[in-house]
Amino acid sequence: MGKRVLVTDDTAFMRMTLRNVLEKNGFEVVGEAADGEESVALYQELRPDVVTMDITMPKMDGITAIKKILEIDPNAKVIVCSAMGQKPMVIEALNAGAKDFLVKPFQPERIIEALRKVAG
Amino acid sequence: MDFYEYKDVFAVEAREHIQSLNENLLQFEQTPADRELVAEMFRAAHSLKGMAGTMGYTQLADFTHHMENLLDALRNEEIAPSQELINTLFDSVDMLELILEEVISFDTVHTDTTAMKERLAEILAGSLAQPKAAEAAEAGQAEPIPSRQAGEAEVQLTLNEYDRELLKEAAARNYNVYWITVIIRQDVLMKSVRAYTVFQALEKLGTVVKSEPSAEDIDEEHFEDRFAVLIFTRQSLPEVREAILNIPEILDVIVSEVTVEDAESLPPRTPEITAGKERADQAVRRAGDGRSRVVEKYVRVETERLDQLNNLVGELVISRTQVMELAKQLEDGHSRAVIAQMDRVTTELQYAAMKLRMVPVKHVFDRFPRMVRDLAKQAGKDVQLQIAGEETELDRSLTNQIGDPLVHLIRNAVDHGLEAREERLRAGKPAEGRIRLEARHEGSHVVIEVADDGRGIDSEKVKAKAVDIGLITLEQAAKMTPQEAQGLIFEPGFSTSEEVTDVSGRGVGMDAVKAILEAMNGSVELRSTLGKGTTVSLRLPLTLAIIQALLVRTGTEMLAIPIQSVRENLRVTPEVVKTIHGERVITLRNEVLPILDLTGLLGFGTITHDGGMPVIVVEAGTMKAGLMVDELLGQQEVVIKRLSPILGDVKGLAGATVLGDGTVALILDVAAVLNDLTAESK
Repeated sequence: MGKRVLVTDDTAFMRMTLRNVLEKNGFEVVGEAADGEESVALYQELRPDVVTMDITMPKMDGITAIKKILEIDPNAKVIVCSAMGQKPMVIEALNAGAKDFLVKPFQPERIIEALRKVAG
Repeated sequence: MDFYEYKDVFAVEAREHIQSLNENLLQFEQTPADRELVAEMFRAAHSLKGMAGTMGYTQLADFTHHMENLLDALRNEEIAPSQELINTLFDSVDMLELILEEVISFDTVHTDTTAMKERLAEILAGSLAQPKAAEAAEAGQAEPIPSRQAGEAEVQLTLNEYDRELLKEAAARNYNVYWITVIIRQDVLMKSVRAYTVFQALEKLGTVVKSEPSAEDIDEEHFEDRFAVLIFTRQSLPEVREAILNIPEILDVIVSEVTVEDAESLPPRTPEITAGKERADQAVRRAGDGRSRVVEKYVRVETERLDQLNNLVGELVISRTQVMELAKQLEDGHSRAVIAQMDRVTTELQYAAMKLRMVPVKHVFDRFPRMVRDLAKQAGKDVQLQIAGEETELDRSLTNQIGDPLVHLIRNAVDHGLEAREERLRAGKPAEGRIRLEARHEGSHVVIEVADDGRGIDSEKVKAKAVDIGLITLEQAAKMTPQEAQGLIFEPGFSTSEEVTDVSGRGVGMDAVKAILEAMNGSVELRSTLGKGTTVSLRLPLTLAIIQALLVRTGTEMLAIPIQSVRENLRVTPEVVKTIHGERVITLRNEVLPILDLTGLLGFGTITHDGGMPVIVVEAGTMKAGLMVDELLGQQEVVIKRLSPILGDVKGLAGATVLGDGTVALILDVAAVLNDLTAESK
C-alpha cells in the first residue's frame, strides 16, 4: 500500500498538481487542506504518513500548523513547500520540525524523492 | 580609435582593481593556502594590463605585466608563497597605485619603475631555482593521508592551531572525527537551505566543529556544488554516510576519518598543494558567474526595502498628479516650467524604481530544459525545447508566481499536445516534437508563450464534452465558433476528468492557470489549429504597482478602467441601441456588441441619457463589450491600492486609487465584469 499523504496548500492548482504527481507515483492522497487550521484538523482525523505544507496561507500559516501538528504527534513527518525567496521562512519551518523542504515551481522528481526519503 | 573619452571609466575601474589587489593580498598573507585569492589577484593584474594597453599607457602595462608573471607562477604552483614574495607584492601594488595616479593626471609615468620590476623578476627567478613547492612540501611532510587522496572531489581540510587542540581532545575522549565532503545536485533551488538540512542532520549525530567554506559563506550560497564539515561523533563512518545520503538532493558524500596523526602532519597555514588546480578552476568559473570579488557590480538589498521604496514612489506619483492639477491654474510661466521639470523627474524616478523590481524571466525558464527532458523521457517522446527572450524582464513578484502555470502548460504540451512518434510520422511531421517557450514585450505587457507543434485541439470534441457534462446546451454548442469552443477549456470543471484530457489534448487545471493569471492582472489566450499545434499566451503586466487607466464617472462614483482593457471610446445615441434576446446591443462595424450599464451593474444608480452617452469598448480574453458611463474624465496613471481585507473580495473591483484632487476612484476589474455578463447570458 502506498504511503498516505495529506496535501496542504491554499491554491486548488497546487493541490491538484501535487495530487497528480503523487498519485502517479504510488502515493495515496488521503486529504487536501486549504489552510493551516484545516490541515491540523485533518491530521488529527486522518493520521497520514506525510504532510506537505505550504507556508503562506490564510487563517493559519504553515509554520504555525507544523508546530500544532507536532504537538499532536511528535513523530509527524511534514515537508514544507515554499516559493523562491522565502528562505528565512523555510529555515524557520525546518527549525520548527519540518523534515524537508520543496521549492516551487515543483519538479516532480524532487517531490517524489523528498516524499520517499521522508516517509521512509 | 581614440580611447581618451573612456579615461574616466578607466580610472574608476583601474582603482577598483588596485583596491581588490590590496584586499586580496592582505587576506593572502593570512591564508596563503587560498588558491582562489591568487587566481583573483592574477585576474586583476591581467585586466589592468589589458586596460592600460588599450589606453596606450605602455609603461603602466609593462609594469603590470611583471606583476602578472609572478602571480601566474604562483597560481600555477611553480613557486611557493613566502613572506619575501608577499612583501614584494605589497610594494609593487603601492608602486602600481602611484604610477596609475600619475597616468591619470599627466598621461605619462614619471617614477622610475626599473628597480621594482627587477625585484619582481628576481623573486620569480629565485623561487624557481629552489625546489618546487609540491616537492618541498612532500619532502617536509609526513606521508600523505591515504583516505584523503582517494577522492579528488574531496574538499581539502586545513587545520589551525585551535582545531588541532580540539582534535586531540576529541581523540582522547574516543570520539570519531570525520571530514565529510557533501556534494549536492547542480539543480538544487535554495542550496543554502539544503546545506542547512545537512547541518541539522549532522548535529543530531555529533558536534560540527568547522566547515569549508565558512558557515557564513554557505549561508550566502558562496559555494559551488560541495562543502565540507568536520564532525566529532560516536557514530560509525557508514552510519554518518547513510544519514547524509538519506537527505534529498545529495549527489554524493565522501567521509574520511581524521586522526591525531593527521592533525600533526597538517601544520597550520601550509599551502594547499593537491587541491590547488581544482580550486583555481573553480575560481575562474566563479568569476564567469559574475560573483568575483574583483568588481562588485551588484549589491544585495532586502526585498522589503525595495518594496518600501516602491510604495513611497507610488505616493510621490500621487502627489505629483495633485501638483499638476494645481499647476493648471497657475499663470506664472516660470512656476509652470519648474513643475514640468519635477513632473519629468518623477516619471523617471518611477521608472527607475520599477526597474529595481524587475528580474529576467531566465530565472524561471532555466529549469525547463531539464524538466522537458525528463518529461519527454517518461512519455517516450522526442521533444525539442526552444527558448527565446529569456532576458525579458518582469516584476519580481510576478516571476515568482508565473512558474507554476508555466510548469503546467509545458507539461500539458509534452504529455498531451505532442503526439507519439509514430503518429507524428504518419501525419508527415518530423519525429521530434517541438515546444517553443518565448517571452517578449508587447506594449506595457510581457507575453509568455508556450507553443507546441502537436495535434491541436479538436473544437468539435471539446463542444461534445462540454454538452456532455452540462456546461453548455446543444443549441449553444451549435452557435459557437471554434475559438469560443476552445475557450471552454478554461471553464472550471471542464478538464477534471482524465479522458477529456486525452480527447482535447489539453487537460487538468486550465481553469486554475486562468485564475492565477487573472489574479496577477494578466490574461490567458489559447490558439489551436487541429493537426498543427497549440499556442497558449500568457499576458502579464510589467508591474503590479502602477497602471495607466481611463477615468470615468458613473453616477456619483469615479471609476478607473485599466487602459490595457480599453479598445475604443464611442458616443452612442439611444436610437442605435437594440434589444436582442433581452440583451442591449449595438452594431459596431458589423459586430454585435453587448452594452452594459456600468452604473446599474455596480449599484451606483441608473443612467438617464437624453442625448448621446459615452460607451467604452473593453476587451478581456476573448470577450468584448461596451460599458455605458456618465462621463469620460481622461487618462492618467494610477497607483493600485488593494481594497481593505475587511471588504473582502468585491466582485467587479480590482482595487482603489487616490486621484490628484484627493478623491478615491475604484479600479474596475474588467475581466470579472465581462465574465458576469457571459455567465448571465447562459
